Amino acid sequence: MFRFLPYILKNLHGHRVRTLMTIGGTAVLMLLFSFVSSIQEGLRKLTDPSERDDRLIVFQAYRFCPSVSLLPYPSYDDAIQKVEGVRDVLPIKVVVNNCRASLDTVVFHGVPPDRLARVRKLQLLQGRLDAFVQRKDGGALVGRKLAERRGIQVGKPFSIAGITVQVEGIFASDQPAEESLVYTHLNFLLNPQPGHHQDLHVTMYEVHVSDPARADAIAKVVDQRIRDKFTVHTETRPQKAYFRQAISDLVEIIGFTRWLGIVCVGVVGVLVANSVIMAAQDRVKEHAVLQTIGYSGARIFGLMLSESLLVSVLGGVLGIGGCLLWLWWKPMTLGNEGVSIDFLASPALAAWGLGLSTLVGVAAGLVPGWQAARADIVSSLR
Amino acid sequence: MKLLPWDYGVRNLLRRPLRSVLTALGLTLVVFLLLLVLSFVRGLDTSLTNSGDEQVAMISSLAAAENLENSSISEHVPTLIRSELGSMIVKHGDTLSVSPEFLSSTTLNTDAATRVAQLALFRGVEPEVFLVRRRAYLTAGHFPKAGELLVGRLAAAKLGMRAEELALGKTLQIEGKTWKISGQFAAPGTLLEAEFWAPLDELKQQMKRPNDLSLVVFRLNPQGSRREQLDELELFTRYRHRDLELTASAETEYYASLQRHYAPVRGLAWLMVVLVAVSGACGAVNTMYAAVAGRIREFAALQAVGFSRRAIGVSLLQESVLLAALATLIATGAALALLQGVAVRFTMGAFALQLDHLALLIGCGAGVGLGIVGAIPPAWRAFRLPISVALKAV
Repeated sequence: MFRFLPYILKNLHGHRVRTLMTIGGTAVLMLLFSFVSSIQEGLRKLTDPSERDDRLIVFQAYRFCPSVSLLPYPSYDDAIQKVEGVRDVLPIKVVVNNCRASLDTVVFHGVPPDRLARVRKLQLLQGRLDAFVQRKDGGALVGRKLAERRGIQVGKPFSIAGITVQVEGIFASDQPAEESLVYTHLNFLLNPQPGHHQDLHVTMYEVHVSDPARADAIAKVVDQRIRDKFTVHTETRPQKAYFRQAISDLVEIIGFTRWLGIVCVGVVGVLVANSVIMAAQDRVKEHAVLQTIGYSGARIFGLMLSESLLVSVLGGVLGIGGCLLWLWWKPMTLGNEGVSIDFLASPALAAWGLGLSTLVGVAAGLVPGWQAARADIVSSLR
Repeated sequence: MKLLPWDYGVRNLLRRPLRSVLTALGLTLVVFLLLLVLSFVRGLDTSLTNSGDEQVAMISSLAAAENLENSSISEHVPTLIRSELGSMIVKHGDTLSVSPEFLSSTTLNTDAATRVAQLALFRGVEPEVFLVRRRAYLTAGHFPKAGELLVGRLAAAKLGMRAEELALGKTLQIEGKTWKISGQFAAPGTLLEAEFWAPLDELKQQMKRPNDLSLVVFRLNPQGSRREQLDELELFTRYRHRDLELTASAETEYYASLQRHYAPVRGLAWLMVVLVAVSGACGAVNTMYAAVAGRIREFAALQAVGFSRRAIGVSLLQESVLLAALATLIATGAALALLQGVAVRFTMGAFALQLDHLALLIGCGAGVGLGIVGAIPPAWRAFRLPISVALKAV
């Protein structure tokens, strides 16, 4: 079929405006499709229950907004550490610039710096970890995505939500959600007064368990232990379950965008089909001549199908490529209740989009190709 | 100018029915997509605009900024407001229109054992709330007594539940305590409709914050000078009671700040509208190019027998606009039937998709506009050639 490529390209070039309009329209729609799919991919990655993880989140019972979960520290810290099967505990004070859905959420996690180094696999891209640990008056490590989004640089201060930190490093993480965080010192956010020996309040505790298979059982023990000893009760869940609840307000809207994507693909189908039908109708005589000189109906069908496929795939490549470039140039994150969903344009998403473009190209070319292949030569020549 | 007959254009559309149907289908989908996104943007905008009452002012904690759920002010603030600002507040008999309120977001369970706890927004209120929040009214039942609460009209949508699950008499579990639904309220077009309202003192007790409030809202006298009233509020919060760390604002200002907060989300939605419209324009231009390409001789012949280029251009425009108008009509009908008023759960509440006059104007205007845009480049191409050359064109 490749030896007919010049013929197909010549036909497309012969109707430049039509070809450009079809490819342009397809590209725009596939860009939109990829864009809405990227947020679905981010949501899936964030909440996928099939990925077993060893982290539990201890939050105040019944609460979901970080600002209203107030767990005593360090008394709960000590109690949780003593639960059998708990490997490590990270108390976290969450401060967020806005709890509501936002495309520009900045989330501070105040943590004890020594424990952070122990429990997180952060890859420092710029700056120094020891400088962060030593800087007790607001040293901070900033996630790569947030740094790119906000143009944050090492060595400079960064202010938001009434908090000013000194950026000591920029990190990457194997957990996409973490790359939108700012880690700072727990004591910097809690701001204990000298001589203060009573409990302060953190937002949550992140519990690392030795055996992920026992995570649910350990969660129950943690809640029971707190219930037995303290008045403020807790709810302990696997981290992904916690994420699912925190962003549950957005799940419907994100599900809604799936329909937007489906309609986009539908419009691509109509656009390409229409274009191929026009091409077939314009070339009724030409196809009859080709058949007269010995081209089979199947060959004509193949030519029409290839034309449809080429236009659709080209549009798809441009649209999906445009989306990847856009998200690479301007990473986007949708935040809610201190949890961030990244717009993830992964290779899998690109492959899925291209597959869909191919499918649409084939489907759109079937009917006009079939009609062109079965046309009566004599009446077509007239 | 002598125009071509109206049915000339109509007949041309019917000459290639499959192409016309496909173009109409494509345009229908495009206009439907436009209306879908517009209904979201307008629904969000309308609910934020309607939620703020221009006569209402509010006092909350200085530290809470835009998150009223984080606001915590002294329970004595309403008394101070009544005594010091009473003269500029609307009175109903002896009662001032002052509503102390307590906001809390927490999880809620229904009777159904299988249902997962849902995130809900609760507002502790007193009966005076209806004096201040003029859009709100009871649609069924009565104001809650101890252990009871009111359910907003969109609360079920917010929780992803069926309306029957929040019917009168049903019980709900909130932080381990059982509450009975005593009534339902509506506050058309506002975010309040997605909330649960409970007696103020009882909700404060339940949330273990018995001594504080989230905010106090009150209705300012419309006869007074707004400037002077706001100055007085400034004096009250910043100078007279500086120690209480309060801030005052018109309620409309608060919702305007929320609107600014959602600006990037709206910007993204508008970008989608533009992209969808561009793809629709590509389809329309394509179809009209094809309609013109095979008829260059025909147009030259029409010019030769006395029809002006403008008349032929009008006929082309008529074809294109007719197709686009048909698609717009179908899409608008479908959107009105399927989208209008559909409740969408959104962060901290829910709102209804809104196909108001502006959304319809933009959607329909864009639909018909696609027809016009689609006709211009092909018409330009058709009349580029001189008649003598065009008559020989194949």
